[in-house]
Amino acid sequence: MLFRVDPSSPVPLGEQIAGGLRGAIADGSVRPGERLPSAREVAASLGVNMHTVLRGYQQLRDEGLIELRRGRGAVVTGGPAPGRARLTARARELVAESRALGLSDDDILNLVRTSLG
Amino acid sequence: MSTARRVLVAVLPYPLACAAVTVSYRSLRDRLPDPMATHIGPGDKADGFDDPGAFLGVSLGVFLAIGAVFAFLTWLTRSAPGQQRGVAAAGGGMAVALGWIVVAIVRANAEVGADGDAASVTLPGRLAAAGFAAALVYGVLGWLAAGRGETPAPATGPVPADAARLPLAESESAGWTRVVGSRAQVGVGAITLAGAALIGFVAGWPAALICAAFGVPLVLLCRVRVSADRRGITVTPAALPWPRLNVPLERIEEATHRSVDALRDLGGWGYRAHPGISGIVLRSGDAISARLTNGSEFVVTVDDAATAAALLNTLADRERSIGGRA
Repeated sequence: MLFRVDPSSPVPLGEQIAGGLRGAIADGSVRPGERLPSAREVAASLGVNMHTVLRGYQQLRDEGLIELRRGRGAVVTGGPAPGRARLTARARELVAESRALGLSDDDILNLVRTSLG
Repeated sequence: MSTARRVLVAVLPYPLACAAVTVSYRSLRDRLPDPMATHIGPGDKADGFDDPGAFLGVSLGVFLAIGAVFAFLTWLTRSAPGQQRGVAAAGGGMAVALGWIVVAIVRANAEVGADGDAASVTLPGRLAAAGFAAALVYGVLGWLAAGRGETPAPATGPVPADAARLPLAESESAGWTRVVGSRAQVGVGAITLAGAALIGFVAGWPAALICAAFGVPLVLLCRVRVSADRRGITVTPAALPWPRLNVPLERIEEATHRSVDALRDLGGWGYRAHPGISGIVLRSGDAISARLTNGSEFVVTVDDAATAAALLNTLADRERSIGGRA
């Protein structure tokens, strides 16, 4: 798997790491059950702080895409992780585009609620 | 020249061991029983006997043969300096252990006297242990004397323009990593460990320990993590942070990927070092292939090697352009 971060981008580095991994899970290049390299390894590889990588991993855990276990490290969640990753990526796009259009958080929630029908 | 020095570290103790054995044999010749005890078995008791002259001849012959083997191995591993250092230190240490034990056997025979019964010769286990301790001391000293070796000249020329690249933004950093495993090796390791357990029941723990000593590394090293990033190519066991094999970016002229046949290209599996090519080969197939500044090739078989090679070329470009500016 390829990790890439760009410090000159306005997106926080942890979020960039999460985004890259989310994409890899979505397109199947990182498979359910696969073990991710430890945060320490990724940090040394990219030359960033370990806590930055951990923030990215924690974000993916909150999205239900990976499991973080003491001693075993980070493992991609089994089951529908690729689909969930695609969905999460789209949800984030939806939010980003709505905000660019000047919609408030309530507006975005209303938009989604209306789409539920 | 570090190979010459390392061959010396591996070989020098062999003539010294021969000299020590010859001197102790000469000075104690009149007090040795005939036949003398030549092998000490369980319970520190003698269980092998031979003519003293034959024992001297065989001992010296074995020393010289093993010395020649280690000289050859040290020369053979010259393209893998880290491995060569270990081979040289182990080779020299082995001479110390062998010489120590043969001298101890000659002296133990002399204690019985020329008219004594060779079957009553005993050699305390602690003497053999002292021999191994001396070998360990030599091994450590030899390791230090062998030195880190000359640092290979860093690459100065640019990566060839036709080599694959992975587009990166100017301020972007990237790292590639992947785990590769050998199912055959897990199988062999598991069978060896099962064999060790079986032998443990049947033949006692010393034999089982030796069997396990082969099985445990097989199982632990059957999966490795390969990384390609600003530090070059790094290979570590997937389950452990150590041992770590690193080929820094500055030693890589150009990275490509190609199909490697473990048996045909490297003569087997695992960490292989031959003149002109070295690498870690857990299976045949797609591999990162790096052309190094010393003219040899370093390969690691791993899936998606093309991405890793392209990233290495891009990062090497970047490093060399920074070096050029400074």
